[in-house]
Amino acid sequence: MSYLSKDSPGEPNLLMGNEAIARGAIEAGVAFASAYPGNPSSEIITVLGSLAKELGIYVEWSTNEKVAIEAAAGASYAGLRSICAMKQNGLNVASDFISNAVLTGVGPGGMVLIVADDPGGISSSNEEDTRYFSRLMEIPLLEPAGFQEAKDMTKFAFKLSEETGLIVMIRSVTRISHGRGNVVYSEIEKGNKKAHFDTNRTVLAFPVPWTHKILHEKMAAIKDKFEESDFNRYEGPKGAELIVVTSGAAYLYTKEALNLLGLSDNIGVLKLGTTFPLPEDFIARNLKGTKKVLVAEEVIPFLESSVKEAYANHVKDLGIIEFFGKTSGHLPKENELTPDIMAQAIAGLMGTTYVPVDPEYQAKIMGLALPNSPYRALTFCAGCPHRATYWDIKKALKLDGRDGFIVGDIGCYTIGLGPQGYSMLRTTHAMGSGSGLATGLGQLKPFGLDQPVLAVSGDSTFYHSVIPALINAAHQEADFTMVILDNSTTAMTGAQPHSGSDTGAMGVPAHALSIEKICESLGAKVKILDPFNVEETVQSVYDTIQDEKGIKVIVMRQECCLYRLKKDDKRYDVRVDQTRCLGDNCGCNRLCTRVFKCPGIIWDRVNKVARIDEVICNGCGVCADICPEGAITREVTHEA
Amino acid sequence: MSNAQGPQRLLAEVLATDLCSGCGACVGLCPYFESFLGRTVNLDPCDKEQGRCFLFCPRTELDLDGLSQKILGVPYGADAIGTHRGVYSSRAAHTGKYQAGGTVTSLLEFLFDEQMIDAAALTTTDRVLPVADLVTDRAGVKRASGSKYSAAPTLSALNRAAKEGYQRVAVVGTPCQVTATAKMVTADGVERNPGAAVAYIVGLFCTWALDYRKLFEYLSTRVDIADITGFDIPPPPAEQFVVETKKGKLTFPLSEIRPLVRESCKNCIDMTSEFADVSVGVLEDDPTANLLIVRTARGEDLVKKAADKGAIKLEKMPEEKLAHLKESALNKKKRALKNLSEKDPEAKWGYIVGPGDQLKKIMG
Repeated sequence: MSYLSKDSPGEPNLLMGNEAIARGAIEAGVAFASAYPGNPSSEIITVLGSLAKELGIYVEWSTNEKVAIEAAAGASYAGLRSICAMKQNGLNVASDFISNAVLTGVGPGGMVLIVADDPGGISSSNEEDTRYFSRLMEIPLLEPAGFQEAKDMTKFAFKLSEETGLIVMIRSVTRISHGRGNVVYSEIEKGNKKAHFDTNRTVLAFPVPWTHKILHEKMAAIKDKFEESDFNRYEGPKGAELIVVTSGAAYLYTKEALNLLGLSDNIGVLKLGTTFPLPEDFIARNLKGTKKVLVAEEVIPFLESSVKEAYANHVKDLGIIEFFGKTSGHLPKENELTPDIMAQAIAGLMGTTYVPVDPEYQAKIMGLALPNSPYRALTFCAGCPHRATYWDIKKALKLDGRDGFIVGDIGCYTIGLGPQGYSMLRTTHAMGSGSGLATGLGQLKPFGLDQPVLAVSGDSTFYHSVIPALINAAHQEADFTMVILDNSTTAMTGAQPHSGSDTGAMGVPAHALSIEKICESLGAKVKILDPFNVEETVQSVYDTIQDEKGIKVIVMRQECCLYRLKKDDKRYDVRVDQTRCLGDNCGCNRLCTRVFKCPGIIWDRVNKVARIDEVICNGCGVCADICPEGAITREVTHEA
Repeated sequence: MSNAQGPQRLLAEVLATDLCSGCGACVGLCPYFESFLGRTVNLDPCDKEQGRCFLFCPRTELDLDGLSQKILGVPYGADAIGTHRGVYSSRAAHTGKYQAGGTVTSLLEFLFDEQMIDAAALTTTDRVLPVADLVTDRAGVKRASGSKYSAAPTLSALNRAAKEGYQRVAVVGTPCQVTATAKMVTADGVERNPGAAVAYIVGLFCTWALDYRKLFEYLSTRVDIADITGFDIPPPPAEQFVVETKKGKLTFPLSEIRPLVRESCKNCIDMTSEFADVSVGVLEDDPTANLLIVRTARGEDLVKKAADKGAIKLEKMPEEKLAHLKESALNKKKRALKNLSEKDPEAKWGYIVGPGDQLKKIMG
């Protein structure tokens, strides 16, 4: 039995935030869980999947977030409690369904939506603040300010969903999802595991004004409930000179800042867990008597706007209060907050100053750190097939000489934007956006576009959102080359299976869909290439871009090196024959370390020649094809 | 202008300006330059301050006086066909499938027969694409015979030969290739210089070469490329470009072909490979013989031996019969100098470094 499935009420356990969310769902008797992987949300489904058999629940990695939330809703309509998790980008994909489901309502089984935002874009292409979706879609929003709340709110959300027939959204952030803290368990509810769709019920949103009115009545009732919620509380002296209104991770930074400043007894903290609909009366009650309010939250002033709006509704009672936060410039509208940022803002409002680090010490430490720390670029892993893919395409495009270019999207291969991917990638937006852009670019020949157009996507992204773009391209006869970097897994988010995998989230067999068969069915000309076969692949890519009719698909098939090494040995033992490497006397000008840039090859400063870092090298062997002197040798360690 | 003599300057001053003749001098020295379908392609950035690529390129810093002194022993001369020791009409002793008199093929076969060379950097044809060919025996010479009409990276074969350890290599090349080879041979203090392996430089006459990619594009809508067996330009006033195919000869007006000439050729002042040991071209009024210009002592020695052993037949050519050739050569110089001075009035003669008086005289 896992520590996550123990029925041991009152027991504290050290859990990662995402595990706490999963535990909350387990305690609520969840029966169905779905998601498309995306950091920082991925571990929720990973842990539920690993417990699926033991708990008798169904867990899947869905093809994309819209499908994931629809699948979860299906279970809800059949009476099962369901949970769906995604990162902020994923909510954009799923939102089309949600905007309808708010009017239709969900089923008798409660349904919880977990969205893990990524302030600072640590593992994302943006730092979108999804809390606005709760207002836009009109669904209740909970923001956990710690690991215990992550668990408790999840469990509560199922109950609220069942009471109201609405999807309940929980917004986590990286520091909640990926941090760890003590979580005290409560009892595990059995939960309904018998699915049945009530055919007396029709799920529809018409007439819209009527269902919309029902939604507003539900939201009013939820607001009343939130007025009494334990997730909202006031800490500190009544009528404090300054009150910090905050939610989520910003609450933790606020508390730490007050500790740093020694002001915990002087300043009030109004901590909100239910941020839409806002418990206005509760807020007004607690702000009474204060003169200054600082609203602390990450990214966009969502809470700040809402609280100011609530203040306007209660201004007669509250008198004049000055509001500070992002609009006043006291807090940044971008990136994560830190205790130091909070302490500086609070100190400023209290007429004192806070210096996080002695400037002299700071200068000294930077002077020591910068010259001595090794240069670390954002790069592909040693042995990553994507490096080889970009190397091959680069050469094919250079030989072609018509200034061809690659458009792409988000995945490990986004590193192709930088020198570690030879700056081959020119654009990156959402999942599948490269293929979409290419369908447009592939129509521009009559406008004089004479450059070869290539789009890249990962294998998981192919299923997620490239297929519709390829259908469009096939139908419109757009001229471009779609390159699918098939590394057999959803690598960037931690090697989750996808629709092309033969096992799913629960570890049981799944039907693997063939990328090439799907593409062939669209009439695309499909080639399957091995990016590690440099010479042959360069020629084949070159030949493909000479063909100027219709969509061409190249599947660059080579397993993610990290995924491979979980099951298998290194392919090659790679060595530099230091008697053959000419070092700086070679005309190559350090091609291997300066241009090819695999971190597995390093410059031996003593012998002034290249060397393999045996610890880093993953044994792909491609560098042996790159060295013009043949000084890099590879020996097969394992027959692939 | 930076003092660097490296690849960045080569890219900016030669490749970006279309001055590259595709000779292959920079190909095979490093991993950064490759020749592909007639073009020199830079695959990756290289930040070297000094590079053999820049030093050997025939379109960078061409010091005519310096090169002439080192190769020919005299300053750059006034003769439009270059400094020479003698001019002959020449033909192969044995008949074969040569263009004109077969002198080049005979000389190369002779060099192999007499074991005066170990290898030769020649040009063969891969279907219609001229490619560099590192030939190491008599038999290989045959496959390289015949004229080519678009540029080939022939010198990449010399670079390969040097890398593979051949020590006596003959180079047969067009004026740009001969200039590059001469720059290699005369370069001081350059490590791993392929020029050290050069035994003989046999120059060819060249008015211009076509851009392979443009030629291919032109022909691809008019001929089945797979059927093409050869090209020919009959002597004036025919004004024709002949494409020989499996199904017979096709002729195209030369006026449609001239726009396919490489930009580089329009900026070349050399028609007769002025820095070669010997230069060979067609003899205008005798399609069965070549015009052979002997320039260096080494060239003189080779030609004498080849004639003595009966490999080629020579006839002294009176200077007065060279008037038309000299006029053509002079016109090529004038056109090129005009183009270069118009291209960059500041730099005056572009890549050509002096002698100013001589060049002004040529310009008229």
